[in-house]
Amino acid sequence: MKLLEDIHMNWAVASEMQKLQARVWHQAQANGMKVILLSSALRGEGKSTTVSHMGVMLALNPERRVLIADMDLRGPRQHHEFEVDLVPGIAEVIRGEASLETAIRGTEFKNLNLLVAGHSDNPAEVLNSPRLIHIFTELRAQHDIVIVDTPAIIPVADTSALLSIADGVILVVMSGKTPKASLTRARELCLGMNANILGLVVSNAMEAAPELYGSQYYSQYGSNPDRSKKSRGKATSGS
Amino acid sequence: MHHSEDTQLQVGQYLRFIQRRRGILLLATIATFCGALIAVNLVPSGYQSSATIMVRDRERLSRQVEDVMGGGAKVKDYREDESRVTQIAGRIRSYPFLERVVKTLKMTENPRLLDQARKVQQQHPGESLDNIATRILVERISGRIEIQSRGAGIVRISIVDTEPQTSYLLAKWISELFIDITTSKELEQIRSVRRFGTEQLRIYELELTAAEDALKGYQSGLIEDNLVNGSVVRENLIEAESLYGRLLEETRNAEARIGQLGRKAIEQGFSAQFSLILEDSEAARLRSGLTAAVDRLLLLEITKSDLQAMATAEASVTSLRNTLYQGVQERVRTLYPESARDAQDAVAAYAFTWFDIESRKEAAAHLKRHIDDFRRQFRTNPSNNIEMTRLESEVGEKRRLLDSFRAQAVASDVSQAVETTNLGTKIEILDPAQVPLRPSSPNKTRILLMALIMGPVLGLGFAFLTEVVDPTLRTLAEIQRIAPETVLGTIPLLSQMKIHHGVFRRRWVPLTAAAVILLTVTALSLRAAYFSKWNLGGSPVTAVDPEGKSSR
Repeated sequence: MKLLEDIHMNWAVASEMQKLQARVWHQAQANGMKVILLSSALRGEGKSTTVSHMGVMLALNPERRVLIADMDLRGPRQHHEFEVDLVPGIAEVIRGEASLETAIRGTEFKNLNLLVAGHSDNPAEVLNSPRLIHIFTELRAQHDIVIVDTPAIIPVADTSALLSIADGVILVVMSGKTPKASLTRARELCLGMNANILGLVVSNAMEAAPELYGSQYYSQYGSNPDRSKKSRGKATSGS
Repeated sequence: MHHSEDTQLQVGQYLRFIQRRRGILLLATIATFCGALIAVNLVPSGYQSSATIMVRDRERLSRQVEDVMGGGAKVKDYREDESRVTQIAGRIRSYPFLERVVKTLKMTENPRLLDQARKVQQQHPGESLDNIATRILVERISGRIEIQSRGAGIVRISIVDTEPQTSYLLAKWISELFIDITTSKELEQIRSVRRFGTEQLRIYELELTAAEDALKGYQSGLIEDNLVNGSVVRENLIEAESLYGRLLEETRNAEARIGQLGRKAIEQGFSAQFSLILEDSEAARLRSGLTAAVDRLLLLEITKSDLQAMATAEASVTSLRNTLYQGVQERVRTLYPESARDAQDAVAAYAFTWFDIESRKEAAAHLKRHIDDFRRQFRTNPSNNIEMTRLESEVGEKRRLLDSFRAQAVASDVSQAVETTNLGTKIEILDPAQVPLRPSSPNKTRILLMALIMGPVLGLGFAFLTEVVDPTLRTLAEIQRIAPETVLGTIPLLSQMKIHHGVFRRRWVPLTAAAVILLTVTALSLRAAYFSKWNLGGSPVTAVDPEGKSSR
């Protein structure tokens, strides 16, 4: 799985994801949050990838029950990340075509579950369905943390519908891609829905903070798989 | 340490900026270079032909003498050269001069030019076709002429044309015609000055004559106020002076003959002293009588007495001269009895001539005294001195002017002669025009090098512009300014994050560069294959060498 390759082979990715999951878990635990949305102003800013990687890193602690829910019905990605089928997914569950239990799938990590998007011709109908709230209530009961992948905030209103059921939202910004106006608008939309913005995740870190990625912080570790395994162990114990 | 890290940070940011916009830099470099390549191949080659002329100041004869004798050289002011170049440029670029060049080279016979002139003539029907064609040509040529100073008195005239033969003909004939016209103008100027001088000379002569007449008239007027008891009066003063002059001349002539008479006497065997007869009292008495008669005759002449009295006086003088001659002969025979007859006659002739000369001298002296007496009397009148001085001064001034002008007229003749000799040569061609073997423009190497340098510079400019107008967020600081929320994490760009755009969007730089290169190659190929005459220049000009060759 490419996802695991990135984590095992790329120390920078593993390190940053480790830090990200630690902060997110800490905030979630401190504030009693379970459902965390990741969204972005525009498409292609790295939120789906961040969701999958962060979910894996959260699941490295075997005592956590982690769920990744793909609510991007217009451009689902999580089934690709985890190399599973698109159906059945949340869309089928909402339409009653499948049960939640069958839709929730396991992954290589025993404590990491995946709820893919499923297939839907009318995402708005799915996302505005009253059943969604019940589904998420069940998901909260079954898991310690639910990471939700959503569409971009500005192009479509899907995420706005999901903000009300989430405990917090993390905005993903891609350095060198996200325009200023778009980020501003995305924040406005979130704040307008009284969303709790937990923070930002900045992707394309080489562009945003090259002084960190060019320095001794990562270069001494390189991409040695043995060293990566050792860091996995550290990340697990330190969560 | 901190400062060096900040510096490294800034350098790193610039390098990342260049790396981020490397596509624009590369594209700008390629586009600029290709554009330059097309331009140097489409712009017509220019062939430059030049002629160098030397212009010297007029050589004065005195300067030539100075140079031979070691005189000092004048230091030339560079401003004189600038002024000279400006004057030469003005004359060469003037319409009349270029019109003459155009007509000499028969440049108005080009069919394309005539077509163009016909079109213009439709808008100006009052102008002739030839005139319009000439004006078009003069405008074109005027802009192609370059005139530079190459040192003291050395001027270089350069012409650029797309045809080497045309540029050569233009350079050659412009330089030669310029010299012809300049020299002709100067000679004509000298001639006109000379004509003016001749007329002015006549005027000065007339003015001098008038001044002398005025003086004479005034002198005559004064004489009336000073009638004295002398033989010389106003009416006969000029006569008296003329008579005096004649007497002196006769005396000189006689003195010139007397030497011969003396030698003749000696040749005849006379060996005694001439003084015996010359100091003889009897001879002296006869001479005095003759002198008195001559005096009387002179006075009668100057007073214009009646003819009878004058005839009588003349007869008396003749008689007394005969008497003197006979008396001298007798005294010679008496004083020199031992001499031969011929010698005695020769001595008598010598002695008579001597006595005659003495009597004339005395008579002349008497006449002179009369003249001087007259002059002394009217000159002593104080009220007439100022006017007399003024008139005499005026006569003197007019005479000086006339003499000065005559001298200048001579100098003008000399100047004209000097102009036509090597001593007076003012303009010559040092380096005649030649047919250029290679094009002088455009300088392809320099243009392409400049394009290689300017390309990245332009690219940097465009890159900077795009960076400035780029609305995206880049650094953490920028992001935090918009969204002050906590940055939970910064993650690298993973392959899954990249949006897979279409081929063109991903490869727009190399594709665009390839398109530019392809366009360049196509343009150059087309030009080479089909449009060998295709260029961006204006219509070429043709010229016919009056000495034979045409430029086309």
